[in-house]
Amino acid sequence: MIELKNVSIQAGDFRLKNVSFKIETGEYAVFMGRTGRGKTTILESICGLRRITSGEILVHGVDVSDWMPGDRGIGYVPQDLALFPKMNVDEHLSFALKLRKQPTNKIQKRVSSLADQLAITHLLKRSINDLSGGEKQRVALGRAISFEPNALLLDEPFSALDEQTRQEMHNLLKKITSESGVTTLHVTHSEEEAVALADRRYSLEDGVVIGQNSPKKGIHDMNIKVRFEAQLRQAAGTDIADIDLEESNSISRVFSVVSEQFGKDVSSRLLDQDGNPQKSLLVFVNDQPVAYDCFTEGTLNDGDIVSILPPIAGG
Amino acid sequence: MFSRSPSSAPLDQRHRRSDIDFFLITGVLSGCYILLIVLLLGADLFFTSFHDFREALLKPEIQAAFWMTLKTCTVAAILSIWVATPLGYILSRFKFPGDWLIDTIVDIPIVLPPLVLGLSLLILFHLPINGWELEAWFRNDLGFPVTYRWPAVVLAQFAVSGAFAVRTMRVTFDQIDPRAEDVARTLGCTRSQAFLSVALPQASRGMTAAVTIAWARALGEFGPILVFAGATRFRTEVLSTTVFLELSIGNLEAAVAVSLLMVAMAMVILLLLRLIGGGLSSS
Repeated sequence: MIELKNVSIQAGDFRLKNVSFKIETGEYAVFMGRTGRGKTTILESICGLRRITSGEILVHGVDVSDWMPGDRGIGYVPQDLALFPKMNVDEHLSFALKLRKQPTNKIQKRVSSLADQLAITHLLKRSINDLSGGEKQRVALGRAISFEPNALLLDEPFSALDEQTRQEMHNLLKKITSESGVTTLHVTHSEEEAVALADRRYSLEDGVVIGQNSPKKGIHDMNIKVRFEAQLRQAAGTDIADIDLEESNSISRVFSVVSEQFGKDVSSRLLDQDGNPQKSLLVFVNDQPVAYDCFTEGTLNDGDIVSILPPIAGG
Repeated sequence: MFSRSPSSAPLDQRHRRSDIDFFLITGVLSGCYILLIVLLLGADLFFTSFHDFREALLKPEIQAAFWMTLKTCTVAAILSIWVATPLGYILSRFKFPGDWLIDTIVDIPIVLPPLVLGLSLLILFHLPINGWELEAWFRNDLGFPVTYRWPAVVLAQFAVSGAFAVRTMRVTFDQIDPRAEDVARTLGCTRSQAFLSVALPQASRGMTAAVTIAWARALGEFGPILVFAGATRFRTEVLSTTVFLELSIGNLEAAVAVSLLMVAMAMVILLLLRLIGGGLSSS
């Protein structure tokens, strides 16, 4: 679990005040927001590379605000990856384990398992300088998770990749994070990335983190309603639907229930914020509009990953 | 009706441009300097004969000066890199109150007239402070006299060559992205571990350059050595002081021969270290 409580950061003329948010253990949170709003600054503060002026940073409930970066147990993949130019792939994957003075056979086993997981076994002896962009991403990811960190922070790691490689990396990241159960905070500008990966979404605007939503777990305890707009009212014969989430454990379940209840073509008749026909709908938790989603294609199915955006004003 | 697009208009010969002017001006300006250096060396070679050269190099005092030069330059270069690596790293990586002052102090030996530097060293070692004197402390308490001995030669060389080495190492670390060290710290490194395992291997080429520059500067040092160490034959004489001593007794042939020897030494060490540097950087 990562939690920021009223964290203020001063970086030259740039200032962030009273930033607060929380990511539950095992969650995959995506952090969005326009360039220059301080997303990277927040990541650097969480992993200890930047000092905070006030507030608390908690990792699994422990205040690590004054801890050295290496003691926090946080894996970090910066935007430029920052690989070590004089080391080969094997040395990258074993770096953190050697620092922890793990036995050689244990290190070899872990490196071998990681390389297998990341599909880079054939690259282990290769220099970092001889790798492609996608291969470098895999190494950076492997280095960050090699020591089984408490949390994983990713700062736009796929921004320089081509479409196909990015898709491969999404799948790989999803698989690795779900298997390891590591709490992840991922900064991105890509809506597609957010849709593909996020359990929870945050947006940083004017130094304030917004878009905090209910976590997946426990959502069934809340009174959830889905409201449809305009033409959909006619099609569905209602503008508000109480959703039965008895067995649901994820927000995506909300949409699959909608799909089941109103037919598969319902989603295609939903509207966007401006009233244009889109595959979109509003989700209310305890009568508060908390989610707005716009699907790019297809109908709603159970297991769909649903992205959560900030509350809509006046929604 | 078909109309010709602007991009398919006929090319006008009068609008053709050329880079000849650029290469002509830069070539002439650069060539003038290269020519000056070549002419200087050529004049020395023309002035001396192989016989004079051989005779000068067989002199025991010049041979002693040669070995003294090798020894002191190497020690000064090693001391320089030991100081320059941490100082260059600190100046490159950290902003702290008074960093500009440290930066300025490092440049002082570069801009200070060499004789003034030698004089300052002499005063430092012989300035009495309530009856205590640095030179006396070295000589009596440590049994290691400095002034007018070979350590004074090393210290005079180090005072200048160290500054050049610091400059080189600072530029080296400026060119190394600190992000890799940051990530190393998140992986469990302390600052010193990140420096040793991530930054330093990347700085190997810069360190080679710094050693080269420090060694070459130490080789050419004369003023501070003359003032602080003197020019005593078989004791504090290095090749630069040999040139001075031979000139002072009117032995121009020997002075030129030693000068050429210094040129050869400088070229050998520069080529050698450049080769090592290339090997290190590609490894």
